[in-house]
Amino acid sequence: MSTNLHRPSSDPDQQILYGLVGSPGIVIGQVVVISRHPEQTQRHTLPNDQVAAELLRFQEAVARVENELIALRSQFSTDLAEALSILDSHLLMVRDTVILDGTLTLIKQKRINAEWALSRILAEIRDKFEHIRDPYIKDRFSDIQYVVSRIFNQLSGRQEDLLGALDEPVIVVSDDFSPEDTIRMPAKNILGFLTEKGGITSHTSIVARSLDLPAVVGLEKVTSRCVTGDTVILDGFSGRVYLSPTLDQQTQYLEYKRQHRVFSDELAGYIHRTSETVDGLQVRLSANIEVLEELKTVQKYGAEGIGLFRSEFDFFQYKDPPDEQQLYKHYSEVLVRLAPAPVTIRTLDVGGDKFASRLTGSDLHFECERNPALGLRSIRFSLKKPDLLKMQLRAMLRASVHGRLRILLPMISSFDELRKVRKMLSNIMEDLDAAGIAFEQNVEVGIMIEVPSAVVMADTLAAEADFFSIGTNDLIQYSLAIDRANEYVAHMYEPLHPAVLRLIKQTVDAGHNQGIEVAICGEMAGDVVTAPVLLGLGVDELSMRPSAIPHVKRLLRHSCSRQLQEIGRQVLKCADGVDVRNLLTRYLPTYYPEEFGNQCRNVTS
Amino acid sequence: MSVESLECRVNNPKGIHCRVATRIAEIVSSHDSQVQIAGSEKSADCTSILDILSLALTRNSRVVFTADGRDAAVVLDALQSLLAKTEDP
Repeated sequence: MSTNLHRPSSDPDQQILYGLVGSPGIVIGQVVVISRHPEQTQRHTLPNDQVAAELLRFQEAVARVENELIALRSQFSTDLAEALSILDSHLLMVRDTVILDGTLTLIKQKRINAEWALSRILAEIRDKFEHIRDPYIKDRFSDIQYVVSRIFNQLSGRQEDLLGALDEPVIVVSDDFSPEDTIRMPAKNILGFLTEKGGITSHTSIVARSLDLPAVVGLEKVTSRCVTGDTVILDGFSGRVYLSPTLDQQTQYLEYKRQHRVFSDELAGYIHRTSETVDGLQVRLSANIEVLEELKTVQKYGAEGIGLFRSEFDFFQYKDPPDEQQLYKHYSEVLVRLAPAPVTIRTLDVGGDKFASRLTGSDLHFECERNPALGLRSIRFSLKKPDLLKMQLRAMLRASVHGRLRILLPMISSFDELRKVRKMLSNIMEDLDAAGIAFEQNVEVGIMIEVPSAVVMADTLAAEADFFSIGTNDLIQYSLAIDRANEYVAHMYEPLHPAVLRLIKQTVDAGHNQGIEVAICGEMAGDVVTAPVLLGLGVDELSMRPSAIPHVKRLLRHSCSRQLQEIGRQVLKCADGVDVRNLLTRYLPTYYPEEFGNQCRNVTS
Repeated sequence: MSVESLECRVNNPKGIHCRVATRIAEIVSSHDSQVQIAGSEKSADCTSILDILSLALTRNSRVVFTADGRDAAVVLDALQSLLAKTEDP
């Protein structure tokens, strides 16, 4: 597409800045320049009787920053592993003894104000980092500075409100942005990012890519070359930024941009269509979500329900575990927003090790598990801690009157576990009845199929479960005995391994024989290469990242059920994953010329 | 109670940078033992990410972890496998 574009010719007076592509895309718009001035701190000596209060003031400021970061962390989806890890480092930094104890000690010993003590500590850290030669580690000082500046803000009571009051979308310009900055700026008001610092792996680039907004980084002096209110062209394909572009140039760029948008617009055209094949076979395409904030993208991309609402977040967001009322409120909100579409809420799915270290208030103390993937996790953990599970189920039942709730139990590996939860549910129902609290009597209770033993016993389980949801990520790990995070064997992690596909087929058949629906909620569901295979194996629902839905829907709408079934039959005969991929390389371009016509590499990669 | 130490080499191409330091601090905080990390000149407390970063441990640096506590061996095992990796945690 880029070959069609005649970029504006270089006018000698034209001001063009050249930077690095942080995130692709083109925008034309007004800029807002955000500059941060270093803190001016003053030293005050405190009277003796005020030292204790000053210590407390500092500790409270740190606690507020911590809470702020935790709250911000919650707004990132887990897809953004990179951004989350930056936030995790920042959280550790704000609690770091060097900063915390160092400042407290200075306040006590010198009887000085917290701001001054903190600035001394920051100067000490700067000294240490200045001696570091390795640029990558040296750069981390900017993170420390960032965290410390947040504490300063809290101490001064000044709330940094970046673009909060903005109503026109703009291109934001700064030295650099932290993930926290970007999340504090309302995404709908941002057209793109320009920064002086950074490369393609800088925070700004990472976050911009994840927000699908263009960014050019490493632009020398950009914060002084443009002024808030200037119009610029941000070309996130070439890394050029045109300061004061002519109208002609703007028009050409708008055309350029239009071409790039053809593809995503074409996908957007599928959002409001039904998800069915050309011959009318309907498959529900639903969304996986983790936090309530994602509901807007669920609606934006036309999800037909929530196939997986991971409920862990409520348990880790705050220092204290949630109470039933809080869970009830959140579950009700999702149900109301989606009604009458189904909302599948999964009960707590965590490893015991993680839980004990992260959930304070837990009285369980775990020895380090030798093999956590095979240990006390998920439903096993919940059954070991029945009060927690009861509270969660009770909140779900109470919320069930607000929409169509489906309760999903993770990692069921034996019939007994399902029976225990059923028993627990009926006890809770009796209690609710006795208390005169309304709930849906016939709430659906399904199980995750992610352990091979559950597949083998699927026919028996199907008699007791109202639906199945196959968690392919774990099913692959457990059936192939591959830990994807282990670099020695990660290459053997193959979603299209025929063993995995046969397990899926067996589950689908067992479910259908008992007349229950079978969904898939692993990563395979949102991948356009694997989705046709899953559809061919007969699944009733694919649940995925919301933004993947239009693409999968387009594929589905170009499918014919006979062809899908043919793919399903053929893959089951393959000897290994390579065979399956070779087969798809032959089939997919024929069945989906638009999708795979000239990009078979997508299949074989 | 036992004090154990472990010498190993940093395999990550970027050295002990933020993500690795974060992970070290997380591992150590989730165990009971007190753990120190020492480079060629200085040593640092493993619960402080800033201290760890300031050692500026680049690829192939030799480091010594010293753990003191009832789960010393376990925590050292975890740290050893972390540092053996060439990829980011």
